[in-house]
Amino acid sequence: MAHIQTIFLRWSIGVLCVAGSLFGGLSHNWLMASTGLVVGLCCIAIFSAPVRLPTTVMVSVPEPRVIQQKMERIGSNLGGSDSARLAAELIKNDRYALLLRRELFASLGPQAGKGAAEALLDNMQRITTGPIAFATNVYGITGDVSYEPVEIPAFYVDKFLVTNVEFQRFVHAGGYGDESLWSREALVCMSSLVDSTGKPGPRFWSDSVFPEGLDLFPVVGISWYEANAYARWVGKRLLKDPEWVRAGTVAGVVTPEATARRTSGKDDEQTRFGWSRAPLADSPTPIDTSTPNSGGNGIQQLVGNVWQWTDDDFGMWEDPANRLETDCAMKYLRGAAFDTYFDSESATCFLSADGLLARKRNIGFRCAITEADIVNSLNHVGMSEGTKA
Amino acid sequence: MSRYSVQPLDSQRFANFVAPLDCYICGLGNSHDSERCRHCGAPNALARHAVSEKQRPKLVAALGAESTGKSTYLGMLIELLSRPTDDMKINARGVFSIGIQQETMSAFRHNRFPKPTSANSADWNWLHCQVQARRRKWNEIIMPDLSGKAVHDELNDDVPFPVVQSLLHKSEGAILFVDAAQIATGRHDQDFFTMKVINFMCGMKGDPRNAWPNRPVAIVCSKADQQESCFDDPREFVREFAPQLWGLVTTRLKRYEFFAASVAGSCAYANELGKRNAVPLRIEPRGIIEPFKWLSAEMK
Repeated sequence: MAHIQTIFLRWSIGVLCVAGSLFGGLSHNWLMASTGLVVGLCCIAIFSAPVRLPTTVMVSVPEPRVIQQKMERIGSNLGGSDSARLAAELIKNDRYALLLRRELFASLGPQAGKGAAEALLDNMQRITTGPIAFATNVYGITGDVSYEPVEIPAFYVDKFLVTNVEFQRFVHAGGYGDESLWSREALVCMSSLVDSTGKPGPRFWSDSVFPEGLDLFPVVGISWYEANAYARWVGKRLLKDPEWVRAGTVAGVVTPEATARRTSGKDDEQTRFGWSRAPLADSPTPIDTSTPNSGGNGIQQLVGNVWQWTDDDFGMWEDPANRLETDCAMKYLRGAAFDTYFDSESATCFLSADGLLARKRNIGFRCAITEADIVNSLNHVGMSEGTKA
Repeated sequence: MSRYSVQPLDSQRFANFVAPLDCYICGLGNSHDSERCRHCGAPNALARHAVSEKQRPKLVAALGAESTGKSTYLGMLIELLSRPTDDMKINARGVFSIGIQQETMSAFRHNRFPKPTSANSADWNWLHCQVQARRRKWNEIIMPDLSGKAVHDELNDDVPFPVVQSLLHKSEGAILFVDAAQIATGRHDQDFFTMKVINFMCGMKGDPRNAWPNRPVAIVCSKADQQESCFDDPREFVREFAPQLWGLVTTRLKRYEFFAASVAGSCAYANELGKRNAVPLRIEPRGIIEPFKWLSAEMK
């Protein structure tokens, strides 16, 4: 609407100037006539240049390093009391979600509460309550894929995939040794959840440290159990499968690819969801790398960098008669990876799965938190729902 | 009312029928217009093509037990190499080569693996392609998609498949498939099969200088997505989980290398008409080109 007003204003100025020159000519005021004619024609020539229409609804997302610096600054400004120091420590370690739990938030000072809320809004994107068309019978054992409407309550989702540097904080804080974070099934197989040197950590690390230079790369080589333990440590959880789909299908999100395909008449299922993957690559890319999917609704690299663990058991959305069998317990994966071969698999509607103990080079994760489980963060930073969402 | 017409006597055509066309695989004579060799079942198009070209195609044997993923591997190989890369280019020759690529891709599009290759040699696909590595000259390679059951029957003398023996005799290199997931879980049928093949190859008569111990053999651990450690070090993986196979390869063969390969990221299973069929949950080919690249370099 704004650009239509701009075009109207520009043309009005031009037409008024030309009209002024005509009036000057009629009244034999040649100076006024010539000046008005030149200015008017110039205005029309300049302003009639095509106005660039916005093709993408972008939500600005600060860089991860900037967010981390801000969180450290928030933490250092919280004061010197014991509770303030604890809050600062939690915010610096990405565990701000714990502070926003209702039971803990009441005991925090206003500064700490505001700091935690700011950290949440910087790191996570709010996804409003709403429905999605959730695909079932995806593997088409009998019949075609069908879509069913599912209502999703509001939740927050990480803007970025969990990185090596974030996961290292968990490892160094003794997360692998904290039994409260791990399920009984996980504790049985803890001896296999080690790095290349046999120490606790993701599969491709050594001495519980990630390879040099990969600090902003998504953490990979982690089983579902490790992803789940990390999520619990930071006071969050893994995304439910329908939540993940909702995060990628929020209404109003338009990507340049989607626009291009729609205008070229090649609108398909993938385009409807508005995501596509980057070209095939050999390894993951850093989380701050701009990809075709960056921006959009503020969630970065939802599709195309690494597969992402979700919290739902494989087959739970399928009709029992059509359910596939597996050799081991599996969880759904979403998001496709750098090495996904088919474009049709690099879409928010596609789902895959892997065993709970799969520690592969192309599987990472991001976390979420239900809005109802925390205090209203928007209120504590002086924002209304409309301004943020 | 009768009408007269002049019909040319196509003497050349008759001459073709008289002169037999030697099968490119088994070398025995066939009539000129037969589609397949009546002795071994190999397509006669290979022989016709070899006659018309200056360069004789090199044969590569791709062998493995049933359901080791040979067809999937070959279909994916030609799919990947048909996309131009800096390292290697491939041009499919003949209808068969496109057929195996098409069947594989079509199956994946429907969340399925390609159907197992029939034991009937008339149904086999023959991958015939031109390969160019790093802008060197083009090489013609023929790699048939043999049925695992046919090879098994030939090795056990159950049903004679002359094409298997002829192919092994003429092949300049081989890719042997073992199922990584099976050997890691202690099911050794696959590596016993591979050991039989190696012994069979090494026991073949012929020029000792050109015998199988001196020809390159790539041992590919297929379905490695189900055993990630296989990708880290396939050599160590085979030594740990299939020590007999490891011992045989290292003692009987001189030019060998171990590889890990997978096409699907993970699998589930569908019960269809009482049969348990594997369903790929995503396609992410890995380690497919490396064995072929190594073999091409070794065969020069």
